Amino acid sequence: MDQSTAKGLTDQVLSLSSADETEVLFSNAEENLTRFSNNAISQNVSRNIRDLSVKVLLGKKVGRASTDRFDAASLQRVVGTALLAARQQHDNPHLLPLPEPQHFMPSPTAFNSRTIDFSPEERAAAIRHLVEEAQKHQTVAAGIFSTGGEAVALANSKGLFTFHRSTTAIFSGTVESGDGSGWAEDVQRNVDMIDVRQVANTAIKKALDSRNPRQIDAGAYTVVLEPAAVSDFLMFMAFEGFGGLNYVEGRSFLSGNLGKRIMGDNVTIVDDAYSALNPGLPFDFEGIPRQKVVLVEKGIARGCVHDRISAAGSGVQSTGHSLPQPNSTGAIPLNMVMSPGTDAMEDMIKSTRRGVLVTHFHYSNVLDPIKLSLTGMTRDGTFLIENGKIAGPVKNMRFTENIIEAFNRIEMVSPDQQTVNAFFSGSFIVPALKIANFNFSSVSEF
Amino acid sequence: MKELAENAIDHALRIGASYADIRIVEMQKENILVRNGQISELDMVDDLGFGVRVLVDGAWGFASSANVQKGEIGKKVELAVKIARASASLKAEDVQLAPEPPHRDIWVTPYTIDPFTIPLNEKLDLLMAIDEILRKSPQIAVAASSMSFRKKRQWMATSEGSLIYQTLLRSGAGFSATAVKDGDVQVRSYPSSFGGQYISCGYELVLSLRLLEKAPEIRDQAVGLLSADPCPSGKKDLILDSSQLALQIHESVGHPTELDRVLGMEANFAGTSFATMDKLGSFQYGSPIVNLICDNTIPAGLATCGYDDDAVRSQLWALVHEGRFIGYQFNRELAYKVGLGRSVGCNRADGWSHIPIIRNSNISLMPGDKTYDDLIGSVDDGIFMSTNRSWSIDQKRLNFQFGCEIAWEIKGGKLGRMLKNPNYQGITYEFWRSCAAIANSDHWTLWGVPNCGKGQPGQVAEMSHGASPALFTNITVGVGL
Repeated sequence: MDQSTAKGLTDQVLSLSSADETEVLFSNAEENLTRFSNNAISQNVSRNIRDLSVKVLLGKKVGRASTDRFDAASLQRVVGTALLAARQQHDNPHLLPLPEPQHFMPSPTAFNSRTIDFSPEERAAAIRHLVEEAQKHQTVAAGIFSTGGEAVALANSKGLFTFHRSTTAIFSGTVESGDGSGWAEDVQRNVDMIDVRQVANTAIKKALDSRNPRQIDAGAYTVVLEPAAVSDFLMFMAFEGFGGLNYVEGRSFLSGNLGKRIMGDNVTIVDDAYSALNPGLPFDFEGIPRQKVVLVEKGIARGCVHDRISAAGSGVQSTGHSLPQPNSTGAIPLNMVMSPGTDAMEDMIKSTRRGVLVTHFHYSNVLDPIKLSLTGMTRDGTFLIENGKIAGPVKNMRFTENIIEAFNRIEMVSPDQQTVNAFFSGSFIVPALKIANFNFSSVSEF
Repeated sequence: MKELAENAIDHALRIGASYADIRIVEMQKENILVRNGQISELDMVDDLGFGVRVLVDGAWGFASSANVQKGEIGKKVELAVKIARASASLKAEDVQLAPEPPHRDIWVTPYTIDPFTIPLNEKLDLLMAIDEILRKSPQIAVAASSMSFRKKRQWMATSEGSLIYQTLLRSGAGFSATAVKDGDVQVRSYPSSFGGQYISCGYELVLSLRLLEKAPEIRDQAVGLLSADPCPSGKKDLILDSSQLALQIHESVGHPTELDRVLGMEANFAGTSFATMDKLGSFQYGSPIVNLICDNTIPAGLATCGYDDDAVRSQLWALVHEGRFIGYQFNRELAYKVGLGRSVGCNRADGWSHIPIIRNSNISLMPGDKTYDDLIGSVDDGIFMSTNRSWSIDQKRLNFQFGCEIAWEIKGGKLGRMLKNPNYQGITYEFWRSCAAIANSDHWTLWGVPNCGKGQPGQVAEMSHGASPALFTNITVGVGL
């Protein structure tokens, strides 16, 4: 969907509404994904989904309805449903008017036509490379090659219109070798930047190196966490702590702590949709320009992201991080960047007398939202470090850890960062970390 | 719809498919959430689309679109065939579908009151009234009450002659109160977490839940948890209520018995399984009183339907009998891997835009012979935990840690003080082998799970799990730092 087609559609819907104010949010996503397992393609799909959501304001009442049918009768019906929903409500004195037209800063391009046009045959060829390499080593590969894109347009009856397109390509592989398992992934806006060989080599090497794991006792270890493992922590920080609603309601680790030290001085995290590393939507789902927000600066809590509702509760302006309204989640950061350090992963390992190297985590979840106490399992390559060297693979372990406290014990941050896919077409840029006294509470059998 | 579907099948066969099916799906959804006195979610969704699945040269291709027009369907059939040919370029073996007789049928969820006929203001008035009760305590930072309704109409046609029309209706409702004080956040939900209870039925669910009546008790429990003692750490006897057992069944019985996981087809994402095929028939999954069955015909189950998305009629079968592991969940494609001639019918897709994959069925723990008082009375030093709050389990489904919203200490066969932040940890088969007693059918409840994620691209499916409260001995509880 291009900008002029989106504009025509949103104009058509706006013209059908008799509400005091009307907003139209349109999205169209195409996803082409080839899935493989046991060294063969197992699933192969193409999806094209679209959604048109109409929000109407009648005085202090709001209604919303959505459809994926774009014929004239369906568009009339979706507007009518939203109006009916609004009429059946009591006034909400806190309801905010729709925003006036805004000035949006351009963000670096996140769209690449090659990623949209990439064919099933090209995906199969890339997968064949990984499979053939896996077979050379008597290993078994599974994974995905996903290519696609999303267009988002937001318009309202006050004249606001904005449009954005992005593409994403993901090549992800898990390789198993007996009781060994390895994983690697590459995420790019431009499919031609995907490094199939690197993913294949890394996943296969980890699978071979992680065979015959031994069991070590649960307890506190120094850990070297690869970027994918670190990204789990950032995702839960985004949901549980960096949003303005949690902050206002006292449910965030930022609540009462802005301006105070909450993490080590080697931690800086910003949300930046304008970073060339991490281009994102330059507007939010209320139509407010997305700002770069410093969340943590050298360990000091500096801010959280807001939509207009939580901003009003905090006496500040929206930072342009709203999800589609109304919602119960509040604002969340979609384009977080954790600043790099100076210590390569090799140096992290060399400087560790006894520790654990983690490739990534599985099924992490929250135990305590304010301490950001999480639990989860290691997966696909967990290794013991002894006297500065990888001493061998270990069986997977469960961590149970207060992550905010753990981010006060970061000893090293890598200069290399990795892109990790996030939500709402966003992504995070994360380095590897070395953290002292990281708690593993139990051990699994493999 | 019938003509569009049959045209698509004919077209697919003409251009090289050996098998083809099409599902045209119309979905109507209504989601309402009142949060702290304001409408926080309100969406009326009307969604229509189709998905075409083909086998060409023994490999799968699938394409979908929201544009249900003859021309668009033709294009997507051709795309699906092109994709299948690409799949065939890297296949291990030809896909073989277990035989299923063609079905020409109509199936509709039984219900009394269509929730889409109830005016929005009536629903909002109830949710606002609950919200007002919950917020009567100043320590409640977040009051949330919600309803969710979903009506799915699906036309399915296959090249084997099946032509099936189904209307599936489900309703959900519930509320939660979140209390906050001095950096402590405590939540209580009713009837369960994740939005309450979900059942395949109509608005009669909402009327049956006694939501207003229960609101003061749940609010007061949330506030009470702020000053409760933390759950002690150590090895204890543990009684789980039926809603937490539903989660336990889902994570530690349901997912490990999905045959696609066992065979490595989910290795890159959801994971594999410890319940490997060499264990089938001999492995002691639980104690001899543990019986776990799948039943996609049970009234009110969220996975209950006439036919799955392989056009296989819904069935009832056993996974664990008297503690012994005897069954898997599988589809037509994988039936021959377990040496069976027919699918058990649990291949389901999330709407029209996804392919069907093996999904958890309505899996239930069969009731035992104890009364609730028997269970509590049999524990000298233990914990009773209720309502799931957190969940985590390894990718082979062995090492798990689950947390609950609330617990009570059991001393000398009696419930005692309230405890906060309860959790427990274990290894799946050790846990089920420690099951010492199960309450009887008077205490058995079928709980809806509305949020099961699996697959790449990610899909969400719904299913139900039934259980009575049960006792597990010598379990690690109170796992902290």
